[in-house]
Amino acid sequence: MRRWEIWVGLLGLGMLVFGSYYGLMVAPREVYMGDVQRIMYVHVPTAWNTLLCFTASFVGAVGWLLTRSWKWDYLIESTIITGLVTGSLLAVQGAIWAKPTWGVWWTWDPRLTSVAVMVLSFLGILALRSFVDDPVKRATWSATATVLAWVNIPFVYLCVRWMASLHQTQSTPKTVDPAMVFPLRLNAFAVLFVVIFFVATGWRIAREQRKRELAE
Amino acid sequence: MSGVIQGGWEYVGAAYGISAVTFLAFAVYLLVRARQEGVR
Repeated sequence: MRRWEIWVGLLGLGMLVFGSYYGLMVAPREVYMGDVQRIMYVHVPTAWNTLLCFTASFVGAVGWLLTRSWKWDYLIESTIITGLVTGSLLAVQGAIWAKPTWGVWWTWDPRLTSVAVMVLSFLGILALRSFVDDPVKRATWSATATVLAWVNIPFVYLCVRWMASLHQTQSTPKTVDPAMVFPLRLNAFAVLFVVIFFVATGWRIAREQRKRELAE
Repeated sequence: MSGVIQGGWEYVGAAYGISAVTFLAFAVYLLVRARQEGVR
């Protein structure tokens, strides 16, 4: 592992600890949701970075289909695994927020449903990769499936504007109170740095695996 | 004020706790896998 990757991961961890402290202890209590709204400081950064991860998978998929260079396949694998971890976490955080605010852990609202489709479709691609022994076929089939699965990503982000949704519209630095912007922005970059560490490490693991497979 | 959610720190704690455990567990998993695969 490169030294910069470890430093980026540690920087992300440190920022996440400070950002979470700020969100929990310093940021003001939201007027209607009370302290429960503090979940936003970890939920929204996780959501943004999940969508970013799967978009990086899409870039890797297009890269593989155009160039057949293995580095793109490593990117597909590492971003899908990381995106599934953050995407599953996102759904759990959302359910924990939903219970006290909506009264239910889960509802088939457009945002929640599209997130479930997103997680399940990329989980299916990961399963597909585990079933195919030939590395070239595996990369091509999973890249094609990734392009198809990515079509849902803009819908996940925008469906709260397009459709009647129980889920609130996107929380961004432009839509929240100015006092909430700092911890939200800090944790967004913190999770981004942690995700970069995850993807970089996963990329190197995938590279070693592919090297071994292709040498056999 | 009516409609305001009172309390809820148990939900906040659960969300942050699960997030911390997930990130740390995945980091440890990746570091162990990297060592097993001989990543330098």
